[in-house]
Amino acid sequence: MATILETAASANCFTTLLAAVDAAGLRDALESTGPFTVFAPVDDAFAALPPGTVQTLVDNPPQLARILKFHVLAGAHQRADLVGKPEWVSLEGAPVPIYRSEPFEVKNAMVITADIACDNGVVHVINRVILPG
Amino acid sequence: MQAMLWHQGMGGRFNDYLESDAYKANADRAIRAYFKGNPLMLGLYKLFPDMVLEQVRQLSYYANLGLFWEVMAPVFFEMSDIYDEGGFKGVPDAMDFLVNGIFAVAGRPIYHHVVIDGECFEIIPKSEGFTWLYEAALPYVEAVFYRTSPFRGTKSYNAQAGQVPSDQADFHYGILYADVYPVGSAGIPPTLLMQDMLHFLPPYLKEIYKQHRRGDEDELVQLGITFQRSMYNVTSAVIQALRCALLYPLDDTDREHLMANRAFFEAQMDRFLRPEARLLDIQTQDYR
Repeated sequence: MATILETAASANCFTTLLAAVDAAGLRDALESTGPFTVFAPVDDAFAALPPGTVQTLVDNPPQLARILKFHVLAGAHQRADLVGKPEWVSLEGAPVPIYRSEPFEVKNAMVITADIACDNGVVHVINRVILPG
Repeated sequence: MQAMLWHQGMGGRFNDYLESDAYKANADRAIRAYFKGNPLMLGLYKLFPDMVLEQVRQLSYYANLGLFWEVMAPVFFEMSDIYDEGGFKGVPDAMDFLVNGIFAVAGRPIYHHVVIDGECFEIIPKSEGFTWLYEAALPYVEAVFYRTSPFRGTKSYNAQAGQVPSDQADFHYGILYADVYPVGSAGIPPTLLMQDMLHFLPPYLKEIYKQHRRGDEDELVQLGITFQRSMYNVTSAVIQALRCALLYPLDDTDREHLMANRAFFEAQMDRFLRPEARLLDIQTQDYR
């Protein structure tokens, strides 16, 4: 199996996410043994944000890291686990709500593909960047 | 100012950090550097450490507010320039600009650095990840637009007579509720702010004020109401930006998503059901 970042790189639809992980200095953390659960927004999700939003974050790595950490949970959680609890604490510290199991949704994002198993965790592909609050 | 950070419930962590050991250690290093060679103050600091620390906290609030405006002001200036050039075809254009502006600057850092004897002390380092949106803008809107505290002015409140609500959720002294005319001397809307703005009024606004009410005589009141109107616009932009960030597109076809959007919108609108709210007033041209 591949790591979370290797899996994302081979999928060819996470270019922005991977660039953001590098800009935020989170590559080493996400390459570690973890395990992690990552909600990975596709490129279109970042492109849908108003102009300038992503660039400002890339220019400010700690702030970008905070937003990215909101997309990560400690532990490897499959869809079946996640829907069993209404709220999970993200690495950012703020809760990530699971509003619906069918279709599977994380906060206001829909999960396009769930349960991609990796060496150091699980990836769920989402269609929108999720934000705390 | 301190009250602003009571309203950090939408993801903000600034106030918590001010109580953390890391903050206290950073502040301690800055305090010792600042009072270096001043045994009297260093002695006082040893006797009453919390007193000095509280002063540093106040400065951190200033840093927060200052950065809030440093980031927000260019957005408003650009908006003003676009208006002057005739770039907005109507209010919706201006609103779109504001919503995009809020997103564009949302991730800017909030921090507190101070330079003492050429050395920079990071009392709140940028690496804490504090952002303009969560640590400054959302608390600012909640505090200044909606809640604030009963203010000193030409109108006074008597808490014992129940004129001040006992529950913070019922506070409604922000600019969106202010009766501009009787307020006068302090608080929201502050006359000092209007006095400041008066010096930078564009000629077309001066002309409009001259044509209404008491002309030159009550420019401050008319200006206060313009300010109130524009803050309704900003509030509207914030509501739209929050919907965009936390909820679903307006043309979403999922019924549950639309219900969530609606519940959010209704909760926002419920805040204007109080009789003091000026939402209905600002819709009419003769409210000046």
